[in-house]
Amino acid sequence: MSKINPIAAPHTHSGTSTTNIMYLVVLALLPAALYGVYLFGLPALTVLASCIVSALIAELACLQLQGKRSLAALDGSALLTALLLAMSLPASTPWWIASFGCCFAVTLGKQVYGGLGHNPFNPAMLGRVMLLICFPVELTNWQAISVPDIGAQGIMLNQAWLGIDGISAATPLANLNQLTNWQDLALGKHAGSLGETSALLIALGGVFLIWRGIIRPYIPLALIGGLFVPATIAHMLSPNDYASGIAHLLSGGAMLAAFFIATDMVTSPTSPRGQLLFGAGCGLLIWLIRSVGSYPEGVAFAVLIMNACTPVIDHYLRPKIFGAQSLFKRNKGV
Amino acid sequence: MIIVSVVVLILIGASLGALLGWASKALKVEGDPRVDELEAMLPGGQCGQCGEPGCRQAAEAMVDGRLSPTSCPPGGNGLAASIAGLLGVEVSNDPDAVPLVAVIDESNCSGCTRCFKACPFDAIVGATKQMHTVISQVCTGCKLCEKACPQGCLTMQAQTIQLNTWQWPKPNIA
Amino acid sequence: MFNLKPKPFSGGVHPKGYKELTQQQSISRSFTPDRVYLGMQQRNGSMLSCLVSVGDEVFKGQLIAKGSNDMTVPLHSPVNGKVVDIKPYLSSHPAGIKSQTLVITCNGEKQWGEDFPPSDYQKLDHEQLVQRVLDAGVVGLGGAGFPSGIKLRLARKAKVHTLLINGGECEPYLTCDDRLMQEHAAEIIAGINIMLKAIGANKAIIAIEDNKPDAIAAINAASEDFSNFSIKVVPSLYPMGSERHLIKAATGIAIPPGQLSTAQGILVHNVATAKAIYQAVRFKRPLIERVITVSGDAIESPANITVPIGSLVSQVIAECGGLKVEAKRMIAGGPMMGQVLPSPFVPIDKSIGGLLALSEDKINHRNSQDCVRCGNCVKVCPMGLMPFQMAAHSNHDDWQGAQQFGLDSCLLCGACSYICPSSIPLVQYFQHAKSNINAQRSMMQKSNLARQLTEARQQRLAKEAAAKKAAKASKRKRPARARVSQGETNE
Repeated sequence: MSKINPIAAPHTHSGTSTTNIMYLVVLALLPAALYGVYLFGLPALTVLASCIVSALIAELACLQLQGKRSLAALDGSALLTALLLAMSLPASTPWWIASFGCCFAVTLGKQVYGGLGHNPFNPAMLGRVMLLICFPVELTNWQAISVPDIGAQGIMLNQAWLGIDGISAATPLANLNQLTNWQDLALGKHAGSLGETSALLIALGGVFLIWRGIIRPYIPLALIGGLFVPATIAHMLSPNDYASGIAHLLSGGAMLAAFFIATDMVTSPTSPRGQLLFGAGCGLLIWLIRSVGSYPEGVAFAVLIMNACTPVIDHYLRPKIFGAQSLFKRNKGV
Repeated sequence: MIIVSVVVLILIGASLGALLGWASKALKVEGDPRVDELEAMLPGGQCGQCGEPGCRQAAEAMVDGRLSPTSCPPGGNGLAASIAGLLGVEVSNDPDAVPLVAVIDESNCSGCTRCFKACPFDAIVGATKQMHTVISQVCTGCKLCEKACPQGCLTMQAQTIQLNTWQWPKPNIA
Repeated sequence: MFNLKPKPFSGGVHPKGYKELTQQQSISRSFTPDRVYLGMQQRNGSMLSCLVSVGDEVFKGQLIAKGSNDMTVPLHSPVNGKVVDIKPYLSSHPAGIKSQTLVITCNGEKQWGEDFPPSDYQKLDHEQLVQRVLDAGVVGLGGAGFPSGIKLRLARKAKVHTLLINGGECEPYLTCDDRLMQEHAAEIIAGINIMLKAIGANKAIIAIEDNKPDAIAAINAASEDFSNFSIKVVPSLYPMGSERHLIKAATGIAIPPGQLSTAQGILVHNVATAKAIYQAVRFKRPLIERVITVSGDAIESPANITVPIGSLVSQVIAECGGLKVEAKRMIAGGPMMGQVLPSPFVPIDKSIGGLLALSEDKINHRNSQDCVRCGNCVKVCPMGLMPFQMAAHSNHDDWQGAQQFGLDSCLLCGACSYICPSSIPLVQYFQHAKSNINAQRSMMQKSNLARQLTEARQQRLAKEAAAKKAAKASKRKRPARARVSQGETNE
């Protein structure tokens, strides 16, 4: 009799699935990615395509080796990792470097830990950091934007757009003091990684995700706050040495991190208080690495450091149990 | 001079000796205190199912690590978990271990009284040349009575699952 | 999807209601089964002792089994007929466990065996009221099945000032409380008045979800004359029907974990219980039938129907036109917290408020995947717990870890499993952990008892041995003396 294995309640389901969530995030990322292609031309498309193809192949290979269902490669997680990594790379990155980074991200960043849900670190950022350390020159060679002219003769594609002869330019982060004006930063009219330039499109994608309930607003808000507040204070104290808060927010990968990278559900805390701490920590670390550290961009490092703290945050910062008077009272017993 | 040094040395020796003597009494450690604590947790039926002669020896063996915390069938999973908690070790409960209960086939019972003399928990009632019966709420399933029964009419059976004793199984996840 | 209305509590889900299947149909009363099956064991394990034997004629409302104390409510015959069998029979337990069951055939007559003139509750004192409720075998009809009389008695002791009536009915499909409020508003109000007198409280709040406008109107009309009654319309949000969450929504008070609502001066009863209490006090009528919702997409004609306790599920479904498609699962209760029925041939007991037959499509069952830590379960948990952590600890048999994450506060409401994108059976992990913790607790009690018994036995044996020794010693002395005296005579 004890062998009977009844099914527990509930006997209905909301219909959400991880695949569903993954594709919604991909959808939210698409405008910024396509805008990157518009700005940087065919080289950007090459990076995107090589990332996506290599990530899917790597995922498929890992699933085959583990004897898992190979259809799971299409669950959207590998695609998302590829997209995020590609968007954080310069458009002029050679295709083989991008592919190598993606294979690394999917295999050593995710599958070796047991696949989706088990990785402690954001795979895309792991791939990004590995590439930055192994290929520092290629990864900091920023291509200037080369917007195609749309005139009376139709679309005029210049040589840079076609990837024949790229012009390199400095990212605003390299010399934050000589500031491009903030409208240009928000719209993405500056050199940078291929998907990180338009803060506006990224933020729109993020708001879409919040609206659909895929992410909660705590991490983005805390990250923006954690970056903006110290940057503004430092800028007020010494405007010549430190860039303004707006410049920090709108340049580099800060917005992408706020809405898409730090909010990666596998590697971020789950409780509202934990998410606030996590976001604020990411923001503060981004500012510290950019301002004090030797790297011009600190998003990937900041996110990876906070990823490492996630289990601890999740263990200690729990939501308040319904009806519990004081948080301190409850935590005592823990 | 010599006398003074002799006296001083004797005094030092005597006081140190006294200190040692006091310390050996006051700070005496009698075995591992966990053994007593553990023995207090065990059912105390001295049934010997764990392979040790009695519960005291079982407690010693468990503290030494020679005996697994799960080796006490009368205590069941609950006891195993609390022993493991006390000793700070991990246990994996055997999910197939069903609690047993003694059942007397009353038509064959001769009333020899051997089983209820063997029961350490007074879970069997009866009298000479009278039929015996098991109080199943008290029976720990220690099997001592089974060995004592000359008629073979006392058997150990798995406890039937009741509405309130059924446990939800762990979900099977692929 | 940005809901600007403030939620009365954090978390909760909005499962699709499907209430329109049965909401507009009045309660059908024509159903009489040809036999009823009454289990002698209650869910808490206590056994009832049977007062009738096979072959006895019983009448509707006759006391046929009673328990050893007030916690075990008595059982009455729901029909006029004859006891034909007492045997182990399937219960509605999800594992299909058998328990001793009384089978009564029904002769089709509908009148009560004894008719009591209506009594005026104002003339009865509170203990008499409680006794009538206990004698009628009334239990909480919301699902918990706790004896209502005991609840009233404890509430009086705790000096409860507010009676909160639960008309939440947040489970999808179920509309029986809704219909009951529409059709029996006066009886419910009268039952509430009786309860107020029994517990000595003066204020009653009836909380109804805002998706039941007709019930709100009916209760409003019926309670107009009473100034101490108020109706609180609460937003429809699952699990609004949970005691703690309803209290929070209706009064703003959050009951601390581990505390009972009566400690804060609030007692919660279900609307159906109020009606049963009215019947019990006014007419001395025991609880022998209840209104249940029979619904689901596999039922031919879903309905609300009055069923005698002990009717077989199969007969109730047949009464509702049978099944139109294959029912993948049959459920006692709602889809969120209801228990799966092991077979259609099980009897309905007092705590079953709904009967659902769902097709595969509506169950939407999928194989579970690994947790991706998306945090949706944390977001929807109405108790503010972290279900995925509790499930992970339960998966490793770490009950203490699960308890540290608040397993004891878990309502098993199912919001987490409902929302989980990986379709992890979180609730089953909690059921598994909870039943193991309970089993451990009872094992501990048993081994403590065993310890006491063996110590007592050892003392007794020691005493016996000492007595024997003493007896031997005195015996040895006596024969010695005898020999001496013999010797003396021989000489």
